[in-house]
Amino acid sequence: MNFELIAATMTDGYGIVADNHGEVYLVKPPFGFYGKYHLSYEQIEPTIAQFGFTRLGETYPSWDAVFERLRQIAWQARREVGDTNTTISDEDKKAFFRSIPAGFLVGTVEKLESYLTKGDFYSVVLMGEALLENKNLIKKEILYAQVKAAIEKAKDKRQELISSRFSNLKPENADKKRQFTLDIQ
Amino acid sequence: MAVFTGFAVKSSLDAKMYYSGRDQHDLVLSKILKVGAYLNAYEQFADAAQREVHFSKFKNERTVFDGTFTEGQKFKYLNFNNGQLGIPAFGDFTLAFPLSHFQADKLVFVKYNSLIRKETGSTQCLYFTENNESVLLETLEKDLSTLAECRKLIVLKQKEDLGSGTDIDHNLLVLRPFANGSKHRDYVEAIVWQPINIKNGVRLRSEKERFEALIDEITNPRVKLGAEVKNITELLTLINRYENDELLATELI
Repeated sequence: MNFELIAATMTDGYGIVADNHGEVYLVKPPFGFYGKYHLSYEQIEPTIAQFGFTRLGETYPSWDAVFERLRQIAWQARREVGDTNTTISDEDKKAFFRSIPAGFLVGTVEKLESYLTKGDFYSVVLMGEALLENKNLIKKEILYAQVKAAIEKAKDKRQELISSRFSNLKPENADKKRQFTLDIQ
Repeated sequence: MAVFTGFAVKSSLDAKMYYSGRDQHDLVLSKILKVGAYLNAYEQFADAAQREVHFSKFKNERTVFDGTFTEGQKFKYLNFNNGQLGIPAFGDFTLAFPLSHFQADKLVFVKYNSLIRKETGSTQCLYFTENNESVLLETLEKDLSTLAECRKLIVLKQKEDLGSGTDIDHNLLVLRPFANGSKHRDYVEAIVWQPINIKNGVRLRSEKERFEALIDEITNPRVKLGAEVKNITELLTLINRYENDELLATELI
């Protein structure tokens, strides 16, 4: 029952892992529920070569132990670089919302609804759609429905906003040379 | 009883951004969850030099204190939080252990924390002889209690407040997290010399406003955050694992 950590990126803890059935996966932080992609055998070598993986060939007794090792690599790397990595991608944000524990969800959904009230529709959609993939939220019917409703409302409002901006627009009168820029939240 | 961990988050007190708690360097809570137990410095580091880094500015006092007692190297320091949140200065999350997890004969309460300074600005510790050379046992002894006598100790600690006849919040007799901004660290300390494992009954608490402030920072960042968000996401993923196994419960207060 061995898992082989074939290779890892030493900068952010992505790993190529063969499980105990010989299936190979690309795994990435934060591990656990998301981010496990099946790799065919032909993909292993090109992936290692192209994406800066370091060959490790270490064996571990379980997925947890493999993740542990990769977390260690990632933490170590981030500590070494200090705060130089200071950008949050939308994917980082989504990973955060997918990982919120059960007991913190009521407060999280309240926060989501407050963004709706404030008119921050972009955040509602991004945060809401990630929350719908949160395994803990799926178990809570009422909260799940609240999140779905908030997303729909945010999308409707956004649509209304776009429509209202165009309500006075008559293409036949438009100045062909003028450029329109839309600023949609 | 609680241990703490922290991340960059906006303070609900003055809306400024703080790298709160020790986790900016140490990932305290992450470490505890990775091993499933709260280990002290001796259990974490075999090497004395590494322990000194861990003890940081209290390295001499902590070494003297632990060295004074037979079981000193097994000591784990917690604060008695009476079902409350914990001390915000120490971080954004409180890991709270129920008293039922502890053996009464391996637990002692201290009126103030064991390394508390005699007064603000001084380096002289209350429970130490001059220049913090050794532990002042007579003074310390008077401020200790067993689990059975813990309530009396708390009352003694705040007898002035009780005497004034004002309406008393009994939680504040134990721990005054909000009295003096984020730096307030007055608490009843618990010293334990038994293993402390994460098991059923443990609660992981965060202040609701603070957790929501963290969501704000992540959704619409005003300061540069990168690694912190990844660290906290991985921490939350670890927490999920314990929560799914019913070894701990999370709550916002």
